[in-house]
Amino acid sequence: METKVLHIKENLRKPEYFVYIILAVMFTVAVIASPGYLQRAHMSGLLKTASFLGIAAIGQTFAILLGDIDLSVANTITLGNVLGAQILMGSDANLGKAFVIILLAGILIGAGNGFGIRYLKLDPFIMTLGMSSVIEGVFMIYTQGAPKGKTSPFMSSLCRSAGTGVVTGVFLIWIVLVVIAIFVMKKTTFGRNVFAVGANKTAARFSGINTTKIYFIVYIISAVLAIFAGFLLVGYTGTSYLDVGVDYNDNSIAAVIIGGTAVTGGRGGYLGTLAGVMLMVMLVDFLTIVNISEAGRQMIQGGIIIILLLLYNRDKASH
Amino acid sequence: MTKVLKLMKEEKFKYKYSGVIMAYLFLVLFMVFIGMFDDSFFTGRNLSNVIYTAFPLVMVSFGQTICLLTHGIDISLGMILSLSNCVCIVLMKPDEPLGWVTGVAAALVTGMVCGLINGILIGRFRLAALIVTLSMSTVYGGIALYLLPMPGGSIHKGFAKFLRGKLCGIPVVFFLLLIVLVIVRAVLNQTPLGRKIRAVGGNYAAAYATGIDAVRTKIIAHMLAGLLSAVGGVFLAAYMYSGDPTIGSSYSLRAIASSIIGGAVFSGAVGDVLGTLAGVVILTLINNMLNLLGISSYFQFLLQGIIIIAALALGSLKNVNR
Repeated sequence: METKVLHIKENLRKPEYFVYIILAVMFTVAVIASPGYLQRAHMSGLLKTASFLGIAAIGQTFAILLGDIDLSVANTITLGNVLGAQILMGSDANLGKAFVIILLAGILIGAGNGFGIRYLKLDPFIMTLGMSSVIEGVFMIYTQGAPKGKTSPFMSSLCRSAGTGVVTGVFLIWIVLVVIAIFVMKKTTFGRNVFAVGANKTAARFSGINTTKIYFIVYIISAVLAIFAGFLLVGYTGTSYLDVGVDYNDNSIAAVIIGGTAVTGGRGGYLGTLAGVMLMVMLVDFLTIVNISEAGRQMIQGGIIIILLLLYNRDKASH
Repeated sequence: MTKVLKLMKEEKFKYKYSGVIMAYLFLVLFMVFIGMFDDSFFTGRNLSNVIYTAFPLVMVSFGQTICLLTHGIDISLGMILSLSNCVCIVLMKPDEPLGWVTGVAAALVTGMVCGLINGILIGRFRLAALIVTLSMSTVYGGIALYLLPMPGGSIHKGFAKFLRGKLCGIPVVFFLLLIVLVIVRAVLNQTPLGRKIRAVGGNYAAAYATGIDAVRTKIIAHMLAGLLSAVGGVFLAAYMYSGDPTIGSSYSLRAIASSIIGGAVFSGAVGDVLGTLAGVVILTLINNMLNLLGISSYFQFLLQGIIIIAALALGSLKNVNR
């Protein structure tokens, strides 16, 4: 019994669990500070916003677990949004076509990243940055700077909550992906291999792991999930915007790191990211509710992330 | 001549300068390519345009190279540029004869203070540079937005005229760029501080064990980077005659790209600002080329991405067997 309590205490010290305590504290503060926080419409909106970031953050978690980073997430989301809206053109009949094209585009982007990193030996940071610029070029040329297109009834219905609940289709998709992501990370050989490669690339290679394959799969997962997050955003925005993805690089990286995944790779997981995502979304939402100007919102948001990092660091120092 | 050739064959020389040489090789090829397609490329007017456009990015990239040398990174440099740009405009007194002094001084101090904060968080508290500077970037951007909610303000006319002026037909900024290049390069390659920066970046534990104050070195490196970015911010204030709180948002990542194209590496210690300069010019020429050739600016991003990847792939191909 004694050891069990100690074990729990020890675990709570880990960032990926500690972040849930912070999340709980923040939630309590938000509920007390703003009346109507728990209202159905608000909670539904909050979870919906979290879903888009959460889906994109799955790929980012994989990339950071490898010890890398994926900077092409933001523009991939925008590409998904633009492609989606322009192919759908307001009709459900085009859904299948849009799905296939989006999936192919995602695989292409991910494979491109994997190729650059493994065969051209480019640093992931710079490769995904370059890829990000290429994607931006593609959607700029595709739209000629003026995106068109319209959501279809089905896509819009995914963003509406059913009946009286707070659950939206997008949220359900996220939850399914969360379960799959956590299962893949914890229980499958592939997941284990990602951790191994992230912890020590050379050791992983010499123990017989096909590192090239791991890299390709991780970047394809990241690109495909990001582009689908952008596709789902079509239902939310109604049409497409060229800056719809802009914040997603910073926010997904912040969510993953706040969630306790180490930037050096090999430690962490999606369970922490889940809380990181909720924390980021609640922070932005709360600062909007209390009506702070954009300037103040940015200062506080950045400041809070720094404070969280300092809290984690104190933890690490005590080990 | 034979002496030079012999020197170039030495392993140490290759290791130190291969990145820089590749960058200049690529730059020359690129310039010849543009020159072939367009006669107006090698005109004084166009080249001074290139210098004006490149100058702020050169400053930020030099700063970024210093951070990369310490095995760090600074994603907030772009927003430090924005912030110092706004500080400069807000404190500028356009009507007094020496009204530019307070604005410029405050902007430079702002840059150094921002660098100091980054340096302390990264050096003293050992936080991951990437995420710290990412978050601080938001903070600096917020402060800039608070100081100057809308792009605008006015600049001291005499000061702007000086920075936009020409000396013997060559932009004053070009000389300024050379001076900064010489100073930064001397600091990084010839002084104890430069050696300390490289030592800390190459092997933190070993540098610490040798008695180098690693924390202080990192802080100084980030302060230098902040100061250089502030110089870029001040120049942009003079060049655009106004301030803009979001002007720096794209600089950080482009600065990283140009540093890496110029031969710096993410693992620290290796890199030279001379190469970084070539990297910046390559990136700047992409837009210039599109303008000259009359290609839609929508191709700018596509080409930028492809060229970044191509330039680096070229450099790393010979190392495939490592």
